[in-house]
Amino acid sequence: MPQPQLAQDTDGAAPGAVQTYIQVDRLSKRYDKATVLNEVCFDIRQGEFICFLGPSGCGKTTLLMCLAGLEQATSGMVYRHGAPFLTLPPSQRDIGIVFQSYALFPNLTVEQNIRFGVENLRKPKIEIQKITAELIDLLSLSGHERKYPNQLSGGQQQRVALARALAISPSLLLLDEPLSALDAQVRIRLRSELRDLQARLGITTIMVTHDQEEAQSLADRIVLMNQGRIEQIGTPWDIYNNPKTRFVADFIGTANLFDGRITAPGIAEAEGLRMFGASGMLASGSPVTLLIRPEDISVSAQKTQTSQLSALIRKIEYLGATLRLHMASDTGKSLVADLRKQQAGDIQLQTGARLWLSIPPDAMKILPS
Amino acid sequence: MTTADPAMAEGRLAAPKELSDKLVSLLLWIFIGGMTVAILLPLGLLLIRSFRNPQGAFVGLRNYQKYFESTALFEAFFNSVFVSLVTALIVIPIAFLYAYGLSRTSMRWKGIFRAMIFVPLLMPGLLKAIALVYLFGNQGILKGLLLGHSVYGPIGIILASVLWTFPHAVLVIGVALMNADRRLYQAAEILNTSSLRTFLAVTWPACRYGVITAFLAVFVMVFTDFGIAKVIGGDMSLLATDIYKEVVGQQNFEMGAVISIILLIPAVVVFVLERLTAGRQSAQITGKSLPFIPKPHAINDGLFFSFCLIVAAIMVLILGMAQFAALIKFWPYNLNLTLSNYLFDLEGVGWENFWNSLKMSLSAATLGTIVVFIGATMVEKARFDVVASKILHMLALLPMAIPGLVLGLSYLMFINDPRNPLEFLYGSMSILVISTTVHLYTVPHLTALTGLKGLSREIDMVNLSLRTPIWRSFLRVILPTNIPTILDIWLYIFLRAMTTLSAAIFLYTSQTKLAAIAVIHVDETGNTAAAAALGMLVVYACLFFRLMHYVISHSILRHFQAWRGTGKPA
Repeated sequence: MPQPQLAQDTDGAAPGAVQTYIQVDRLSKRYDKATVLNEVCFDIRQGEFICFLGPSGCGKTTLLMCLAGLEQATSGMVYRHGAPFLTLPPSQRDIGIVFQSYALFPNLTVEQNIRFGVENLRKPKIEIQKITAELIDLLSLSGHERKYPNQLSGGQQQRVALARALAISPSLLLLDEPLSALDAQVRIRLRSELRDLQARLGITTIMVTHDQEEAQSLADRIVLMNQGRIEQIGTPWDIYNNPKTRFVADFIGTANLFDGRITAPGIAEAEGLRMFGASGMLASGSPVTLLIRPEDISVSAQKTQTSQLSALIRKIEYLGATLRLHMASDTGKSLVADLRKQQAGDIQLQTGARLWLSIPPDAMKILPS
Repeated sequence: MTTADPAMAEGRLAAPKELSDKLVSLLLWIFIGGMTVAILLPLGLLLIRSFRNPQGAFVGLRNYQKYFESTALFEAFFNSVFVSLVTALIVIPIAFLYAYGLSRTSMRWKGIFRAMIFVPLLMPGLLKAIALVYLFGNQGILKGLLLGHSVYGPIGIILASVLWTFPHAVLVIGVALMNADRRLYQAAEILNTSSLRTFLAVTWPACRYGVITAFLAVFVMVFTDFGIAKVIGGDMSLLATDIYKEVVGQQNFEMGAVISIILLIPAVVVFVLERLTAGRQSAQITGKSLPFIPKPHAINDGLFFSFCLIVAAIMVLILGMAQFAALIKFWPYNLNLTLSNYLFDLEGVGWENFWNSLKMSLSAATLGTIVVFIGATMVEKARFDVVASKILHMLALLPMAIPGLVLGLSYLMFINDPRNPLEFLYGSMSILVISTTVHLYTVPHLTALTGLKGLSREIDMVNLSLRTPIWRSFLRVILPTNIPTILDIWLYIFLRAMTTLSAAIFLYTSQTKLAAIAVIHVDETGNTAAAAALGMLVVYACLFFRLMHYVISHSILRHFQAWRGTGKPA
């Protein structure tokens, strides 16, 4: 039986396998009173797709702006290939940047927008032409070359912005909520296009988003932030399955959280639940939180050997392939459980019905309170 | 310059600068230097002069003491306050109703009424005064309306001032009234709110700062104006005319300086008040407001239509009267029409004054537009030299608080000083162009800033990442996207330069005499028809460039800047 344990620093890929590209060391940004970034540390590997994820005001955009050189950090260091990065002006940072608002030059055509940056580099005309044509092709913009931004749809405008950023072949691509202004369908299509493009070009990419689904589907690793601090860094899988803090557990996906404490070595009790095999590192009496994901709860109409709790159904939500049951336990605790359609078949599901819940021990995670 | 870097002062990491940032910094400080020479030094000299006697000895506050002891001068101060206050009290309600009709009702003829606002802006102040004399003067056709009171004096000054300040008040209040969110009105309607309560709870809070601003602006305009009182003021003495009398009549520069400083005080106070309310006004606007679309309402539309029609008719009547005055042989005895008034068979006055005006105004508009736009771009695009950007912004706002007459006098003292290396400018057309540009600097500066804010901050950031030097983004993006703003600025400076005289009255010579000044001199000789004819030449020129502006911004621009279109795919 796998041991549930306190999540450890599992960053995904083995360290040293890929070269570290950017190293952020205790980066802080403070205004008179507010601390927007608080001693932020992390590494980015060459070719990685990183998402800064967090609620609004968590500092994720400020962090991106500091990397872009558009805002100044108060203290800390950033290195690129070991060399100081923050002392470079934005033009020497070798970055491409795309904003939620597209920020296209309204008076220039699609083609002129895309070639604008390459022209600044004083490359030969033929080369400029070649790069522009390639990008127009790559981002499926052919036929729109001579149009102005206000004649394009939002998705097309964002493609132009992306092409313009890529045209100067930056070694780092910074995306500030690039998909947030788009319709749901366009957003999902452009999301997969973006992922393909990034994989094909192998360009190190940082994207700021507040949308956890977007971050999970795009990122190699997620930097999850809250109140100017990094809560956790890890692969989407890792962040979902091994959250380090209560905040992470709550922010990513849906979480049932139980407050309790370690009652004896290796045993945690919380609001009617008992869990064996808790880490011995926590002393008896330490407060802890138990996390159980909705899909890990199994329900039955009768009490069974594994049943741990009983609860009444308050509301049933139909989410396509799954059913989401909102329940209240006998102690009044709100609970959420997800059922696949097949599982639901033989159980009488209606509001007010009593169900018995069982939770496999390895599905319970202990978080420090 | 290093101490002016707030990034360093606040102990942040040293901010890496681009070549463009250094260029912006350099230009900012050049502009600050230029503005210091053009505004602060002359005003400082004026202030010092008010503490000296004619022999140049320091006498402390004795000049001021003399001023306050003389009842005649004190009376001028009281008169100035009185006419300014009454004018503002009359013009603000009229302007409010007019602007309200234009933006909040669906009456007919809105385009025409909007165009009519510009009529007084095309006329020199003197011309309006002349038209009023023809209407209400001793031989006036509507003299009976004044019930035996003379138009010369407070009535005439106030009437002419109302006409003169009306367009400015309508424009300021109109902007405030545009600041309306449709959704607020929809919410009020759903909640079954009475129209009075909707007005008090929704309309008024959104535009009250605009109304206050307009009131203060009108007060200062009248308080510091000189031309109207000169023609129609009779023997009523005002502060502005007293400065002229002291300086030109009695060569008493020191007393002129004292009155100038006194004239400056209320203007500065009002300026500070205006800036404070302007800050609060902008805080009310959100980027996501939906424009208000007035619904038809038979009674309201009819009432506002009638009101605006009367006001517009008065504008047309005044302009028509001025044109009539320029065309008749000998008022009021021989009413036959003639063009001979345009021949100006007068000593030293005539077409050359008109050409001077045109030359001066074209130069000031062109020079001013270039300087203002570059200055405003630097203020807006300064990433690091925030202090310099703020200083230049303050210096650009300052001219609004300085009456033209005071600026003119300070220039005269400054440029006349034999120690001044700029003395060679004395009596030149250049000094008129410079003083006019400085005098009119503020409004174009604010217009340019508004235009520049049309390009989002993100575009600047993209330009940094694309390694675009500031001059390239200026030429390729900032300039082309701001052409309508630039045209507006050019027209504003041109019209004001053609029609105002305050700053120029102390700086012209017989070679550079402007039409607006010559009109006064011709009028003083009693040849009112010729004065009207000269004034009408100014009107024709203003009208011509106003129409040019319309044609360029409406047809030519649409053709060459297709990207401004409605967003329909080409």
